[in-house]
Amino acid sequence: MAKAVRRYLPFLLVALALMLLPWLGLNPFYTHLGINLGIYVILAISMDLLVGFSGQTSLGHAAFYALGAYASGLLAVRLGFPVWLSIPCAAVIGAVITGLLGMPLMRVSGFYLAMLTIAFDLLTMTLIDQWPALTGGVNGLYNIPSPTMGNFLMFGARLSHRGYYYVVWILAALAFIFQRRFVNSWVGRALVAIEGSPLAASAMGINVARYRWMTFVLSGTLAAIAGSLFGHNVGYLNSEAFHGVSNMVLAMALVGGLRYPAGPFIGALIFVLVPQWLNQWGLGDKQGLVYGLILLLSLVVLPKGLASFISKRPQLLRLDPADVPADGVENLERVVSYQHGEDEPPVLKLEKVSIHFGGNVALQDVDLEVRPGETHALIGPNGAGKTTLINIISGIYTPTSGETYFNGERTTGLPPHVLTQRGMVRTFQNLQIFPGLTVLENVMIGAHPTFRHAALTSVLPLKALNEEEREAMAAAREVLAFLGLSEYENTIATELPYGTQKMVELARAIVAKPKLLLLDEPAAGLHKEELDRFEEGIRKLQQRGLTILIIEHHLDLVLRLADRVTVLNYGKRIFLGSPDEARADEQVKEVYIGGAAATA
Amino acid sequence: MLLLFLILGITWGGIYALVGLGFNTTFWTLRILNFAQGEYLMAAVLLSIGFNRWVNLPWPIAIVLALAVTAALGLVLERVAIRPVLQHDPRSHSWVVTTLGAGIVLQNLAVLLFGTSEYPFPKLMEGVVQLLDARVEKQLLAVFAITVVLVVLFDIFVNRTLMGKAIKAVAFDRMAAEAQGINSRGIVMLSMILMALLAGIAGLLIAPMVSAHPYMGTLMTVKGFSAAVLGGLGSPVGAIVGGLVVGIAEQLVGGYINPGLKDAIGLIFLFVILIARPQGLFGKKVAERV
Repeated sequence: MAKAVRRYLPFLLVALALMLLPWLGLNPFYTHLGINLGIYVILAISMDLLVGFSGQTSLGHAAFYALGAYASGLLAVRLGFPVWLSIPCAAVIGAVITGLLGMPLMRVSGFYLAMLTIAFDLLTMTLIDQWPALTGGVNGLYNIPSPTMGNFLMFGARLSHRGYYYVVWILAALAFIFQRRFVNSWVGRALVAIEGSPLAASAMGINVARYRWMTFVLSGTLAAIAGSLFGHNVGYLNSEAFHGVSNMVLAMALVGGLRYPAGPFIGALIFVLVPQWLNQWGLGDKQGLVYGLILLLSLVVLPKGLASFISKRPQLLRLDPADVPADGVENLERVVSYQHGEDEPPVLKLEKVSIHFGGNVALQDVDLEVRPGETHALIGPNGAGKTTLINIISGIYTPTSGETYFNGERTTGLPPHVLTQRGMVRTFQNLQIFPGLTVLENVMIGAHPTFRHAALTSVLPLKALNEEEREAMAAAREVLAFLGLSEYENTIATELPYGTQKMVELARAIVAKPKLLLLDEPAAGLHKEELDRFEEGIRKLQQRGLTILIIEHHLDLVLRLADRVTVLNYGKRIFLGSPDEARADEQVKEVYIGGAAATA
Repeated sequence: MLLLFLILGITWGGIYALVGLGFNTTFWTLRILNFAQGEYLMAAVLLSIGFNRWVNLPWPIAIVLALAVTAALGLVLERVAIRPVLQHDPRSHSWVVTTLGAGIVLQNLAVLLFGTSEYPFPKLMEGVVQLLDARVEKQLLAVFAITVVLVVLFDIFVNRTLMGKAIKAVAFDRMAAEAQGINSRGIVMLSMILMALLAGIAGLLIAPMVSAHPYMGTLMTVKGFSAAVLGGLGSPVGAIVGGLVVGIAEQLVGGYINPGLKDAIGLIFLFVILIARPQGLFGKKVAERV
């Protein structure tokens, strides 16, 4: 209880102050500023969701803002829609337009989206000016229901600015709650994972393209809602009103501080006040210059934004780990426990898999079968094609010819996130730890496939969601305890020694409850003590029936752990058999001693 | 009419190609794109006008001086907007925001110095010639000829000179290039200068045909980018083909359908190519190493 009070008290105080503002007997001007502040808060929240969480940049938010303003205004003026209907319609229109504009996000991201949004912004403003029949053109759109015009009616009541202030702030509060619940969940962690490493995120079962697109649409929708509130505040619109807004919204989010709950409020407050200050100092015409300087310098001067001075690091966990005890003993029944029947099909089967890169044949007609419960080692000298094969198995590459089957189903060409959702989980040769996140958060991202609800439901107060979150956190803490990593739970993972990070990656893979674990050189770079701990961990997983395919250069280690061994050389399989047979095989000896023995 | 539209389209397409090539040079060396590219185009034009009007320099000298200052601004951009963010995190895309910010600063400085009025710019040649059924301004043909010469020079520089090959080497693998004794810092500088000059010359070429003002660059950033992406980022041939396609399509749509739609063409091509073939017409698909 005390904890909940501490957590929510600042927000309750801010909310109370905001509720009282119009009644403090201040100049009505402050009510106007308060309305602008509320609208800016929604804009900043919308941009923070996009830039802060999904790592994508929109340089054209003015377009979505204007779309919302014109959509609601036109529906109200031309078709006589009541505002309680025109504003939601504006939100829907905003969602549809951003949904279409965001379609390239299925293929690309990053700076492409930035340029697409700039282009869309320019086009929108041109259309507003050059389509007077619809928009009123440069003369503007008049008589939008608004408190300024005295014709803002809501459910029959005529609202003054004071009444409108509450309409704006109720929506701002809803936007805030929506965004915080959305990101304080597996969805937020998935977005941050995508921002950190799209490749690793897809290997965690995250549908990278869909999440990016969804966030863009939500961000555009929020901006459209803010725009409709802006239109109904001033009652008159032309394209001039949106000049420079795109840059302002981005600057607001950056200055306030990305990902911090307080960020959008601080950013919005600054940008409501900046024009006032500039006017006071006689610098009213320098507003654009100030925005430009902020964008140019803030990322270097103030990379975390102003909120970082008053808040702790933003959380990505919905529950307090202290409330979710892990047993701490080596009881992993809930996470890793497999029974294998006699007649089960092979977990993994490759038939005559080949891949060419340009003229290079990297793999040729490779067959591979991994049986339920076995540990299968894939070895061979450098350049034999082992990692290429793992990349084919996990869906990163599509083979030029041949078929892959997982659990008896044909999986050739399926993308990584689908394979992970079906139970194939991998680690990477080059560490793919998500930067800036704690060990626990990193491992929780690994549990992504265990979350079964649709992403948007994360904002709803559903009991089942908390259960899923609790379950995932308990599993994560349990696995960390099992691998001896409990003490690092709250450490930023990328600050740990290399060997420990490798173990974190292993933990992250295990919480996904894999049916097949693919380990790509998991022991590379580990020192003696870490190697022992790794071997012990793998043995315990084997005892629980986990099926493993492992690539490793520590031959002694891998031959001790494996049930069967496949040896690759120059893209072809040259051996399949038990570790003892592999040690005795002339051809294998030849490859290792004659070829790249030093690297083995 | 068709002939005129085609000539106009090819000429404007060449301009977009120059801006697109500018995108390519920094993409090769730094894997970044300068979102202020259009503002460099504007800067060269307005600086020339400033040197001519206020310092009373003759046009040729004013233009050379303006290009030199624009090139220097390119170096400043690298130092202020690009190096700090790449040092902080080489993978980050923060340069989108910082270069955009630099562009807004340039634009607003231009407004402070020149106001928002439009300035005339001298033509290289006056008069028109009759080509079949079209009356074509000589200026247009001059612009086209200069663009062709520039593109050829750019190709010779990149493919035939040692310095150009060094750029290619840095683009291919910066570490390996440094191991061969190539001064990658210098190559990066060179690419910034090339970017600024390509944009600046493109601006000087179109300045007589449009009016010169502080906002003249913004659309050019988008269209040059569309050209570069349509052709395939990193591919010089791609930037040229992309520029021509965008330029010609614009004139045809503007001429036969609706002039208001002209500026939407760049966005539409960008949108379609990113959905259909993100690596562009001439780009190669790169597999990520894991």
